[in-house]
Amino acid sequence: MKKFFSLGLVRGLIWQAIGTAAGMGLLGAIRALMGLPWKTEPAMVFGGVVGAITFLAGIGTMRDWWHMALGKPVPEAEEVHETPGGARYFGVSLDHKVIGVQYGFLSMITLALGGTFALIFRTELAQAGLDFLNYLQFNTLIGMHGMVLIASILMGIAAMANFIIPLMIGAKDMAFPRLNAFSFWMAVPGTVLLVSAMFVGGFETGWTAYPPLSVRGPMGIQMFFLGVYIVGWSSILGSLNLIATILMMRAPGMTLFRMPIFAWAMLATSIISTTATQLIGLSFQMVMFERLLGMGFFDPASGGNPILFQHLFWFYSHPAVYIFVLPGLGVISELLPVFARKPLFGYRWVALSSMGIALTGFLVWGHHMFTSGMEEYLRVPFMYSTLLVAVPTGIKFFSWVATMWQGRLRFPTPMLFVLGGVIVFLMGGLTGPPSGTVSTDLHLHDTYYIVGHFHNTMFGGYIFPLFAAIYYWFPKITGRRMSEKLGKAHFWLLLPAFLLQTFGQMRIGLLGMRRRIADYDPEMGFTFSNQLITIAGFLVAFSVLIFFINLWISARKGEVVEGNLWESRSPEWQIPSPAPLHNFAEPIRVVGEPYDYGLPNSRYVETVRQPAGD
Amino acid sequence: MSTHTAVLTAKEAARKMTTRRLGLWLFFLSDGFVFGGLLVTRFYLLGQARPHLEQFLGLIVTAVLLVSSFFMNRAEVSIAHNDRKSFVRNTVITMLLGIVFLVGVVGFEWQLAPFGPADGTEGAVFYMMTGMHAFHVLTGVIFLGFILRNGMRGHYSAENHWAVEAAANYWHFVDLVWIFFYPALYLIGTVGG
Amino acid sequence: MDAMETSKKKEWRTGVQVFLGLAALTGLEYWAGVSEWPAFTLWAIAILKAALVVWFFMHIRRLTNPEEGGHA
Ligand code: HEM
Ligand SMILES: [Cu+2]
Repeated sequence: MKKFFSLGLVRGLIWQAIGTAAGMGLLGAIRALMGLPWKTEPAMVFGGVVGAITFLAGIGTMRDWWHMALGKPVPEAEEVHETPGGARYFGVSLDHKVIGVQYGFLSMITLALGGTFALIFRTELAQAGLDFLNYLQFNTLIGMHGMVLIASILMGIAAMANFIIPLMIGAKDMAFPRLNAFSFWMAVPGTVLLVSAMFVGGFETGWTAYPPLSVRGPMGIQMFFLGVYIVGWSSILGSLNLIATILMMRAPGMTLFRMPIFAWAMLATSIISTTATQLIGLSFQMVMFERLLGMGFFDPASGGNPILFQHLFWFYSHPAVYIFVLPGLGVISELLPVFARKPLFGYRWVALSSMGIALTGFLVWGHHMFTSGMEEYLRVPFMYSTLLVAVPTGIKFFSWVATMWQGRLRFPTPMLFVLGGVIVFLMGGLTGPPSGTVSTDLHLHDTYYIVGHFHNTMFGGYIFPLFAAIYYWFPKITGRRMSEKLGKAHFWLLLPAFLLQTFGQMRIGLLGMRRRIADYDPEMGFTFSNQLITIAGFLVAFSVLIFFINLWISARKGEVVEGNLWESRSPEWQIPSPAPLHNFAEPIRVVGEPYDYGLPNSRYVETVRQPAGD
Repeated sequence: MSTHTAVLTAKEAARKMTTRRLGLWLFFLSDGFVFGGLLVTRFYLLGQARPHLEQFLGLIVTAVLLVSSFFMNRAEVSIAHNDRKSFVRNTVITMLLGIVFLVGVVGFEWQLAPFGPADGTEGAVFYMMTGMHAFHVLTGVIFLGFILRNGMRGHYSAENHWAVEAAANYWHFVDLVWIFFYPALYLIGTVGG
Repeated sequence: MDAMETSKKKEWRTGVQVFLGLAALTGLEYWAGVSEWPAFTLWAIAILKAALVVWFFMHIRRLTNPEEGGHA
């Protein structure tokens, strides 16, 4: 029991509870002193903020900074020696590999949680009529499904980046290890706040939180805003750290154009998330203040303009979809050459296409607003900029196909997920242009077609590559490989079930089913399709369950592998598995091109022998 | 052999310094998007109208912040040349000017403005912009408090004063934001109604 | 030590010059504002001021020249 309470996580959560209560009491007391009556909403918001801060202080992420501010000596992060063992994963650690795994845990927990929400409201939708949820519960569930999974995606990306990037570029750790730990631990109270929205009244708006509904609806939206705001800052600080790491910490000889392609993808992603994320934070903050202080930004009743919210919101949330997929597309480009035993086709073009997508991604947000009543002259420019994104995305597809072309393909589980990702992302890419074209989108907007579209993009661009990455890099974490049998079962169940789900969604969307609707008219003739979608959804969940079981079993009993399991050229596979404490016992140097698979006598990295006695 | 390692560590130290600076600038870039978003909000909601504010007070607080930046720079130059006394003096002046700015905005402008935060878009925009900026000034003053304390205890020298550089740069960044907020709030457009 | 003194004096002098430039631009800006010059002139002045601050006070070029700034 004492051991349990010594875990950082437990201490942090207790501090968060205390801080929240104290913050609520404090605000109530201040208001009482000013002669104002008790009001729950401001007290909750203030308590939530204080609770998040006390979590971070209680768990100890700020202790070193505090000492630095007071001019006390603090050890260099590289010289901190942490006692190995499981407890390290439940408290503050500065090791990027531990932080990567911590992000991974959190991401899997939120994945399961968000998926469960979907199963609940899908069950409701299997039949017309309201069966067991009321409208508010249904709306809360769809909103939570969206945002909890977005949080999960951000954390999953952080997990991959944290674990792999320093290993891949030959660094000992991230550029700012303390900031790295801080970013991760921010995400925990953020997630707690986000989920707590369900328990303090829920909200009606879906994940996009459009005002004026979000200004007027129940209070849960405040916790939703606060949670997203904090998770958003976690993402900002994490990606700032990644940019600095990728630009400054590469091994000697690793020029930008000799960097593994995944590092390029993460660089592009991080540029988006350090900058654009501020805008969703700002827009949510403005709605919070509108509710708390009556500031008239968005509610027309007080002179505001709801369209402004949509501009600010989508200025983040469109680029955000590229935050979600660029790392995954990077994983695809990273793994294909390994499993095709051929150089990555058009390395430079692929590297620059990530940048191209990131930059054009900033110019297209208006395609979410074609029907919003925004200035009409903006429609066509946004349509063209949207279709322009197809160019850099197309480059990636051509490179993938050309890399596989005449390769000696092998098909272990990671490769299956890579190929699944390519196929599913292709579906997402093909269904995008009809929604990006004004004339067709006027019909498609806010229907289930859009739901089908973006599930294809997110699964193809994130979920499948994430699974590929976990199967691929699992031995680097544990020293064991994951079960191929369960992995293949996972894949062959997930792919068809998922395609059935999204084709069903697009079909009912074209037949006129609107999204975010708890009930539908049986006369519309899509009840059967809705049932299929629900069944497919459960199958997807079941396949993920197989995956979780695989993780559990393989981590304890999987086949032991120490060396270069996939015969990769990348630096992280030149060291033993699991990766040792400070990564590279001897520094490495880059002496060739990263993806020259199959070319005789080509080398990518070599170790620099230290002169003896140095 | 030993010179070889010395060269290596000097290179390593330079890399560390650049990494820190890059981190700080990335933070500015990121934070700049908040203020950019607020400028967009101001022009989207108010257009060519500008809030009804005390023109003269605006000029005074702007001048105060500008002068504070001057002393901030002087403080940083001083410590970079091992002049601790002048560092302390100039940091104190900067902090005082920062506090005067805060009093000017929050203590006077907020009280004199003919509208509150809940009074339409004008109030919303004005209080959000000045509030967000004032919050940054406040944190800047706090950072200065820390480097002042450590500076008086002799923790900084020409070779070792990254904290001073960071706090000074943050201060200039906050000034930079006001360079755009001042015309957006006080000068551009015409006072409506 | 003397070299240190002169270099400090020199940087202080630059500080004064930049400050005078910024003050003059602020005065001009105020005047332009009250005489209702077109908005883009005010933006241009603001960008000029920002450039001065970023270059001389925030020393953006130190990002590529780590030796600058007096740290060892
Ligand atoms: C060829 C590339 C793409 C095009 C042309 C495209 C176009 C669009 C358009 C026009 C919409 C708005 C439709 C509407 O609401 O009426 C939309 C929605 C959406 N797209 Fe894409 N998209 C593309 C790729 C992606 C990618 C890569 C993702 C990444 C994960 C993505 C995720 C989403 C999401 C989440 C929504 C729904 C947002 C909401 O809840 O309203 N899209 N897409
Ligand atoms: Cu979009």
